Amino acid sequence: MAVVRDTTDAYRERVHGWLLSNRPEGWREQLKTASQDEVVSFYRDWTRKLHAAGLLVPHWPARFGGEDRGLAEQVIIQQELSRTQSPRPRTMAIALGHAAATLMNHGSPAQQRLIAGILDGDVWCQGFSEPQAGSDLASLRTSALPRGDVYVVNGQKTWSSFAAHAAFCLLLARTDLGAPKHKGLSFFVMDMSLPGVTVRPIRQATGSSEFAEIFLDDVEIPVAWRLGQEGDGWRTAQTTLSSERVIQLVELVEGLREAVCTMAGEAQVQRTHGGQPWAQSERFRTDVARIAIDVEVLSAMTHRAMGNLIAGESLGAAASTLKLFFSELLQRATQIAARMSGLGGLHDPGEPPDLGYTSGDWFSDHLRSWTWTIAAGSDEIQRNIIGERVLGLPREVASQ
Amino acid sequence: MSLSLEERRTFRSSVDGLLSARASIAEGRHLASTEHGFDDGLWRAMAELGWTALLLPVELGGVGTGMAEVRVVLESLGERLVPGPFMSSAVLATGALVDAEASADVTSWLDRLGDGSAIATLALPLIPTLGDSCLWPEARLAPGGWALSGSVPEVLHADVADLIIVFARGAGDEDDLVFALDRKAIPHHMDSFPLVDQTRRMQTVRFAESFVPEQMTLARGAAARELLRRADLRAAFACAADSLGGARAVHAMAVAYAQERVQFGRPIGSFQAIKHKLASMYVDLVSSDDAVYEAAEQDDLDSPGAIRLLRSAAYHALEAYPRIAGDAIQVHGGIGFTWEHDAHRYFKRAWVNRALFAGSERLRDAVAAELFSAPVGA
Repeated sequence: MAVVRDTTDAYRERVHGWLLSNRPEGWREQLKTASQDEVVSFYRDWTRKLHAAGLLVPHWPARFGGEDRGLAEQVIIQQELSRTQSPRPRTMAIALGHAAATLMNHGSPAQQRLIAGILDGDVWCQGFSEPQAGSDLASLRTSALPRGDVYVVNGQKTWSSFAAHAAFCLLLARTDLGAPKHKGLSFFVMDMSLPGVTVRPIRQATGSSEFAEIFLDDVEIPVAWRLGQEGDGWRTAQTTLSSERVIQLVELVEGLREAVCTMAGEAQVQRTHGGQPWAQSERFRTDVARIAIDVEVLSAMTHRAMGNLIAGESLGAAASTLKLFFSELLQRATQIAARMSGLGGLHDPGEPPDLGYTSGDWFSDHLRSWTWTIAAGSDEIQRNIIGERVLGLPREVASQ
Repeated sequence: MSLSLEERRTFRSSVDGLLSARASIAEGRHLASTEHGFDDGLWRAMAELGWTALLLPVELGGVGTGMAEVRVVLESLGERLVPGPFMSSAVLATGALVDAEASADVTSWLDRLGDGSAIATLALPLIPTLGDSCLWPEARLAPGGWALSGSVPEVLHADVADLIIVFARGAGDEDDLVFALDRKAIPHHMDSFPLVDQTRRMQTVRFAESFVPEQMTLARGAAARELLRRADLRAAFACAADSLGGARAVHAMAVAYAQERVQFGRPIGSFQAIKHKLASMYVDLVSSDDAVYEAAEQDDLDSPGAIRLLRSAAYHALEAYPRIAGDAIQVHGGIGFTWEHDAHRYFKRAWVNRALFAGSERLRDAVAAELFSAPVGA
C-alpha cells in the first residue's frame, strides 16, 4: 500500500513541477482578447506540448499513443492542471473525450489511425442534433444513402461545437428510411473538407460563436468511413467510453473548486449596497458554504464513480445523476457569484471570452451554464432516463 | 483493521438478516408505546453479533473495524426506523471512550459496552439559546472530585443509560471537562423530552451539587476539547448515515406507489410531474449515498480535507432526508398524510436527525468559517 502511495505522490510531484515550468504565462488574459482562430491554435499547441510530456492521455493503451497507465494518474493530471492554473484544451473535448473512445471501441484499423491526428491537435465535432431532432434525437432526418462505395449524405446538423475548426465530424445519419427510428441509423467519420460540407457559425446567447450549423449537400462519405455496422449507429453513438466522461467531470469539479475559492476571495473586496464586504453577509456566507458543500459532494460522487470504473463496473445511471448534480450546481454557483458582482458585473465586455465557465466573468459564466443544463441530454431528458431506466417508471407516451 | 470485500458482504448480509427477521417497520410502531421504546431482545441479538463492539479496538476485545461498518448498521436501522440506543451507545459514547486516555475504569466500561451488557450515551454541549443561561453544567472542585450542577438537555436514551458522558465547565478556571458518569452512583434528576419522532427517546438530565469522584473525569482542557471535536464529527456522521437509510427506504416506497397507483387510466409514475420529482429525489439520495460512503471509507476525523468531506457529506444527507420524505408524502397524496401510513414516521425521524446535536447548520457554518478565513487567493 505504501509503495503505491509513494508512486502516486511522486507522479503528482512530477506533473506539478512540469506544469509550473511549462504552463504558458498570462494565458488567461491573452485569450480574453484572442480571436477564435487564435484560441483554437493556442489549444492545439498546448495539446501537443502536453502529449509530448506524457500528460495528455497516459491512461490510453500504448498502441494508441498512451502509456497504459491507470485512471488514477489521469485524475492527478486533471487536479494539477487545475491547481497550477494551467489551461485545459477545451476545444479538444470532443476529439479526446468522445471521438478517440469511439474509434478505439468501434473503429477499423484505418479509422484508428486518425487517433494520431487527435494527439497532434486535430479538432473534432459532433453531428448529432438537427433543427427538428433535439431531445428526440432518434427522429433525425439527415440521410446517408448507399451508392456504390460511398454514402450520399443530405441534411442539416446543428449545435455542433467548434465545427468551423474541426477536421472531422462524428456523424449520425439515417441509412434506412423505412426502419423504425432507432434502427435505421448509422454512425460515420466525416472529413469536414469533403465537397458539400458547409459550416455556418451560430451566435450564442453569450455573444460568442462556439457552435455551428453544418449543411450537408450530396456529401459522399466512403463506405470505409462508416463506424460499426450499418443500422447500428444509435447503439454505437451511445457507447462512449464512460471513463472519459468521468475524467472530464474530474476536470469540472476542480474548476468548480477554483471558482468557489475565487468567489470567497472576491467577497472580501466586493461590497454590498450597504457598503459591507459580501464576505461579512451572513446570507452570502451561507449561500457560498452550501455551494462548497455541494462541490465536496460532487467530488465524492466522481471519486466513487471512478472507483467503480476502475473495478470494471459500468457507469450506468451515474452518468445521468452526475450530469444533473453538476449542471444544477454550476448554475447556482455562478448565479450567486454574478449577483455579488452587481451592475459592475453586467458591464458588456464587448467581445465575450471563450474560456468556459471559469472565465471569472460571472454573469457570462452564469449564462453559459445553460449549455450544461441543455446540451448532451437536457436535465429533463436525464430525469426521464433516471425515472424510466433506473426507477422502472412507465413511459409517458409509447414510442413508435 | 479493515474488512475484505468478502467479509464486508458477509457483514452486510448478516445485518440485513437480523433486521429483516426481527425489526419490521410495523413492529417499531408497537414499540412506541412501551416503557423504553425499543426491543431489548433485538439489542442483545445485535450485541451477540458484535455490532456494539465495532468501534472497540481488537486489543480491548472489540471488532475494531470502523466507520464503514458502523455506516452499514446505522443505515439499515434508519431504513427500518428501528428504535434503540445503538447510535448513542455503540457509536457516540463508545467512540468517545476509545478516544479518551485509557484507564482501568474506561477499559471496564468498554468491556461492558462492547458486549452490550451496559448502555451509554453522550451529550454534546449546545450553544445557549434564548432563555438558557448556560447549557454546560458547572463543576466545582470538591474533596476527592467535583460537585456538578446544572442541566444537560437533549440526551438520547438517557433513561436506559448506565453511563452518561457529559461535558462540563470548571467553576472559576473555566477549564473544559469531560465526565463519564456512572448513573447509579451520581445523584441526578431526569425529565423526559418527548419527540415527534417516536422511535427516539430523549431526556434532560439535571445535577444539583452532585458529587463526582475524580476517577470519573475522562479528560480536561485541551484533551477535553479534542474529545468534543471528534465526538461532534462522529455524531454528524452517525445521524447522516441513519438519514441516508431512511431516505432510501421512503424513496423506494414512493417509487413503488407511483408504479401501482392508477389515475386518469395510467400509473401516476408515467406522468413527468411525478417521474421528474422521483428522479430529483433519486439524485438527492444517490449524492448523499456517495458522499456518506466516501466519508466512511476515509474514516478520518483529523485531517482538514477529510473533515471538510465529512461535514459536507453529513450536511447534505441530513438536509436531503427531510426533502425526500416530504416529497414522498406528496407523491402518495392523501394516503401519505394518514397516521396509518409510514411516510410521516420517516419525515419525523428526518427532522429529528437534522436537529440533533445542535443541528445541521453547525456543519454548514463550519464550512463557511473555513472558507472565509482563508487568505485571498488561497
